[in-house]
Amino acid sequence: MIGKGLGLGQRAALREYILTLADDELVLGHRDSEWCAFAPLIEEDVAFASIAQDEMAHAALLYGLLEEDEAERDALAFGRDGRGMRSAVLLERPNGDWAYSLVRHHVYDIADDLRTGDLLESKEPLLRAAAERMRREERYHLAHGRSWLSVLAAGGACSRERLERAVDAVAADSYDLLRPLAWEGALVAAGALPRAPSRLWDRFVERVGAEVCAPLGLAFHPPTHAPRGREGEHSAAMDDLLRTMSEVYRSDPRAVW
Amino acid sequence: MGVAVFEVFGQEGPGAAMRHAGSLCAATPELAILLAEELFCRRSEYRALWVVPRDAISRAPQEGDVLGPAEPRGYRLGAGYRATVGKWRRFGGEQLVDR
Repeated sequence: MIGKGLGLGQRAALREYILTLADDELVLGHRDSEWCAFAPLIEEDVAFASIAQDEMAHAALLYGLLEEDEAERDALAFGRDGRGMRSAVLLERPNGDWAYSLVRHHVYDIADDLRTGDLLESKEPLLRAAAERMRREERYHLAHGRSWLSVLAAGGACSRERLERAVDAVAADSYDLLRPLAWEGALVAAGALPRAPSRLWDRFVERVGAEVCAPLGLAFHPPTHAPRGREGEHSAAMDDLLRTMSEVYRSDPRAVW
Repeated sequence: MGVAVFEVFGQEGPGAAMRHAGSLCAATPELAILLAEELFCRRSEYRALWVVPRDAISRAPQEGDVLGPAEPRGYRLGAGYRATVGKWRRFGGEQLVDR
């Protein structure tokens, strides 16, 4: 099990951190999966649904670090209400249009790339191994996002307007992704991370600016007040999402699949 | 959004020939290869892919043409030699062979 040999406080911090990572992947994976049968091309239906499955699989991998028992893992993923979810509010927002979903996914992927990059230096071997496995797929996700953004950027006035709106909406929620949290210090002290996740913020803003906004002639100035999803403060969209996502699980939580 | 058709070729194993795997629509060649990875390799069907814009492929026959010779040339095919064996026997070819 993860966190062997750590003190109680450090162990609790590690659990919180892994939950934030897993919940992010689960919630975004669910939103992405809602595009299945509605993407701009049938080819993209398959590709985006597959990316959604990748994110869900990453969530399962991370929940697996916290609970060895499958039923406990399911309970973690599907049994909590909104207050218990540690994901960023950005990821629960309804899909909106294709530009929003794509920009959101790509901006999240950049934050995730920075986070999992740090995990490669973790002193927790299981966490390091999980990061290596996730990053193998994230390379594809980043290339996919970059490629689509350049297609949309070249798509004329309507496409351009939707992209601008998407960047603004995503920027407004971004700070939640890497906001400083009370338990971060314990993670660094435990050697689970080389630095607090919130220390990645400047690098994140710089990369989104250079990789997403600059090619569009836009700037990235995310406000630093934004929502506090990591502390359980979610929007009504999260309740809808959880109701849909866990509908089957809740119909019989003890069922064996 | 402008889309083009791309033809996808896949290699099943080391040294295997690239075989036609199918086709797909995509807005750019870059997106085409990314989509091809998901569409044709999700179950690890191929170890390598080629993705080619359909427009880049030269095709035959040209309009009005038919592929192949105008007169039958079956004698050039392997099957032609089976007919030759019958004729060889009929004309006593076996007696010419020193056993």
